[in-house]
Amino acid sequence: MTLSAEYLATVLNSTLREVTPLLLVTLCACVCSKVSVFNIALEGTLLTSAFFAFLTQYFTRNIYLSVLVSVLVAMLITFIMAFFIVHLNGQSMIVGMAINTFSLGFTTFMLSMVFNTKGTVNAMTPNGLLTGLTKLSIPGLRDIPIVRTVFNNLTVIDYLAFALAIVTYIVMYKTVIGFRLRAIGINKSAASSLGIRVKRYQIISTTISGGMIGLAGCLLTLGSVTLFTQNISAARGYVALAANNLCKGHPLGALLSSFLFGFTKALASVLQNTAAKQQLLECIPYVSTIAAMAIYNVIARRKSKALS
Amino acid sequence: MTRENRNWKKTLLAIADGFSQPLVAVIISLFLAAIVITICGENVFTAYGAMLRGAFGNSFYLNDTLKRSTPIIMGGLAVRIAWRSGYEAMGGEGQMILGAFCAALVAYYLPVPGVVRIVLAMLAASVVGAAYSILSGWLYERFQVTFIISTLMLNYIANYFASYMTNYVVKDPDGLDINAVQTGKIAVEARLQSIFSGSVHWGFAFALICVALMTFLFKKTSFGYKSRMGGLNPKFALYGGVNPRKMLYLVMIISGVSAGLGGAFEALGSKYRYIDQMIFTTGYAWSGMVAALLANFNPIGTAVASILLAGLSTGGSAMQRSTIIPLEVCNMIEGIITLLMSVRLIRITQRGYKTKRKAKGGARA
Repeated sequence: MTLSAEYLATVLNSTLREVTPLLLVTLCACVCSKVSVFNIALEGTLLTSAFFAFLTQYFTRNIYLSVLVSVLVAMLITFIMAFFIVHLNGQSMIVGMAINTFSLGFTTFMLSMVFNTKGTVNAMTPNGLLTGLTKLSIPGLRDIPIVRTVFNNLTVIDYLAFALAIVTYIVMYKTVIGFRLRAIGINKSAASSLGIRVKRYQIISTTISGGMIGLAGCLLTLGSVTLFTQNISAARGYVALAANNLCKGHPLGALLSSFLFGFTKALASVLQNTAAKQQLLECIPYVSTIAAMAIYNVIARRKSKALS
Repeated sequence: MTRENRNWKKTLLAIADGFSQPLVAVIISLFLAAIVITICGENVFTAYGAMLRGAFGNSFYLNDTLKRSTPIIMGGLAVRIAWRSGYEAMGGEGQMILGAFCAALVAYYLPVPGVVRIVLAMLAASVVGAAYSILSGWLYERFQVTFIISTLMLNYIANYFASYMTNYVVKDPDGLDINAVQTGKIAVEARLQSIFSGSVHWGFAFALICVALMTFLFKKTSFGYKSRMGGLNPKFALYGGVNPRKMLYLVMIISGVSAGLGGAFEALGSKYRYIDQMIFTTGYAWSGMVAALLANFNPIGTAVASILLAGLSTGGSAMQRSTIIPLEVCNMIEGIITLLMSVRLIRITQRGYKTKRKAKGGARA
């Protein structure tokens, strides 16, 4: 293994492919935290929508329909979550854990009912070969040697993810609706005294942002690889929570923080070819999540001390 | 009405209030699961019959259920302590994994007589569980890393670490199956023996003792009062002179010991070794959390709910054997129960609450 520019480009490429699903989920977490709905159902939502993306593709062979179904499922689950937390005053922790438990059970159940396995279903199903999302190759980029490697195998949704980060930023910070939503997050009763229908805003905004998790689910099962395994989300939802904690709910900050976590995840999979043991490499993203949060909090505290 | 009479009525209402919500939640979730089972083309009564028989049908299955409930009870107690004290930690799984792993190693490798080995194994599991729990407490206290994130991440780290160790460092030296990723089998004298003739081992009895201890600790000691106060109103606790730092670490230690012991019981009494992923895939810690929720954090209720949830999974495996329904249906049921437990579905004593409030308001005015 030599450290060449080409190799670094490969690492960057797999980082990008790890970042985009995480970024989409983090954006949803950002919106949820801005309207003070604590969403830890991200994990279960991601898993279920990923499964439905795969299932729809398996039955219909229509990629547009798969994306649509996946987005709708994610929105439905997020709506249920928001309804229980906002409208019925449920404890957000418990609602989230319930949805996560249910999702893991449900996807494994469906996996064994439809595909007769509890492990992995790859693109070569009994129903024929499945195709994933079309990989884009942009005319200008595909001719430059190293840049080509960096942007290799990226799908429309990968590019869309970065666009959505900017869109979310504009909606949350530059529009009236965004101001209202952030007002809810800062002070509910003040917002409601201004005539904002707090609960309605909370439920609708979280539900719409839930759609982004659906896109992330598509990327997991139909993105760079076409397969579904049990628990394919592998704690990405929780990592997204941590990423959201780092960027304090700012959509552009989410770009940075999800890049950080995506990089550690990519690092773990890139290093697999070396002598290091796989089980220890798998720990890297989780250890670095804790470390990043600890370091960030220490720096933030120092800063606030220096200011005061 | 005499005063005693009124108290009786109050207690009865409170009990009915405590039972009604879980009962409704369980019924609704079983009903929803029944719809799923019907869609899958299986007779609901056949499936649930198989489940019930497989959980409590005869002494063999009942033994199995009680054995399975042991780590769930311990996990439930761990959750109960932490949550009631205001720390929403979910690190039971990681602590349980490390507890089971260490107990299995100590009981396998230590060259001392059987009973001493059991005691040392349980001690090791407690220490490791407590240490891992303290780690998340320390991250919270020192670096403000929220419990949810730190504990969830630590769970994965513990699982991968134990997996690495069993794969490469302490893999069963005399195992016949080279593919089985597990530690060596614990000698007969260092296992937790069965209480009766069935598979229920002394770990279950220990778990019940822990439930009693916990009830005593939280009802009758000042520590229990302080921890509950910290959970209900941290500011008031601080005002009342409770050292929040000391409280945090004490609560974390008790919670970690409880979860670690749960893992040890599973390793010493049920599997007789640490098998890779054995706690992670069974989800004992999560079931424990659901049990604690179902019982509204009452220790005795947690034990009862744990046994029921254990019955759900042993029954689920029985159902999987005799019908086409996979046992994951039980996870779905568990999830729906949890979801329904998160909100107030019905409130029998509502009128009582209201009049009380009015009386209070009147007094203030």
